[in-house]
Amino acid sequence: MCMKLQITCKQATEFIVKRDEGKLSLKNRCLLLLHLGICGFCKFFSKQSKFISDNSKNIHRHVSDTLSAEEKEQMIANLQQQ
Amino acid sequence: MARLDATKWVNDYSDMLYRYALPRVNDSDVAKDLVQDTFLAAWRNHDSFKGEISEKNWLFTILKNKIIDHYRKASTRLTEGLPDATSDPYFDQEEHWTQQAGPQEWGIDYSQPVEKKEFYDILNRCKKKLKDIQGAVFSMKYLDGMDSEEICKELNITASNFWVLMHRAKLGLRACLEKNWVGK
Repeated sequence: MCMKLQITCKQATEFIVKRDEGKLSLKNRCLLLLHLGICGFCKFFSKQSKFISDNSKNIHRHVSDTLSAEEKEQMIANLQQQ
Repeated sequence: MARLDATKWVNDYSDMLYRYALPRVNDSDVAKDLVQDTFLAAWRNHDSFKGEISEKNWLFTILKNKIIDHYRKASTRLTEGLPDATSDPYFDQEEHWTQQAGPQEWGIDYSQPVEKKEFYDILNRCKKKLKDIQGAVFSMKYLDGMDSEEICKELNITASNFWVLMHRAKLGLRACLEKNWVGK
């Protein structure tokens, strides 16, 4: 029996998401590589998915929001009521 | 044990706790409530605080538990985060990209970490558009560095659900970034 070598774009993107977490089997890594060799859309998805994973780890370094003075006053008042 | 000082607590820790919660829950009101609940729980249970860890770490431990509880609530609405079986905006019947959804070249160096705050503001806005449970698995994985098995256990979801949610989260974030960030 001949192994099915072609995967769909939907499968390829599912494989990429697993690959980004180091959870893709060797066999599926091979199938993914074959697909990426012929599919431009999935090749972009592959780079962009990894890019999103890599940079999302830095989100917390770029949050500068603060609570307003009124919100803090309210929190203090709620605590003092305890 | 020193007398509790609400003003000092809030002034010292509220912004720090808020900035931790906000990107994880993607909603300023929810983040604010979680911080308030954290202070209240700490206040009520201050007798049990042994001083083995710093007050700051103790507050963060309470907040982290509250965030997990928030994620668990989202996981009870699991089906919201799973794709609609009848129509898929990304893939056609043959499971190829639809004409509108096919990824485009972004024209950037993908290996270069982004330092611009604007990117993270847009990324957070895009995360906010995800279904809650998709945002939860994404945050647990990429903000907290949790393993997929741990996440499934915490949320009581199957591995197969986890991968569908993560797949949909990535599809959604990618499309949203392409539309709102690329070319800026």
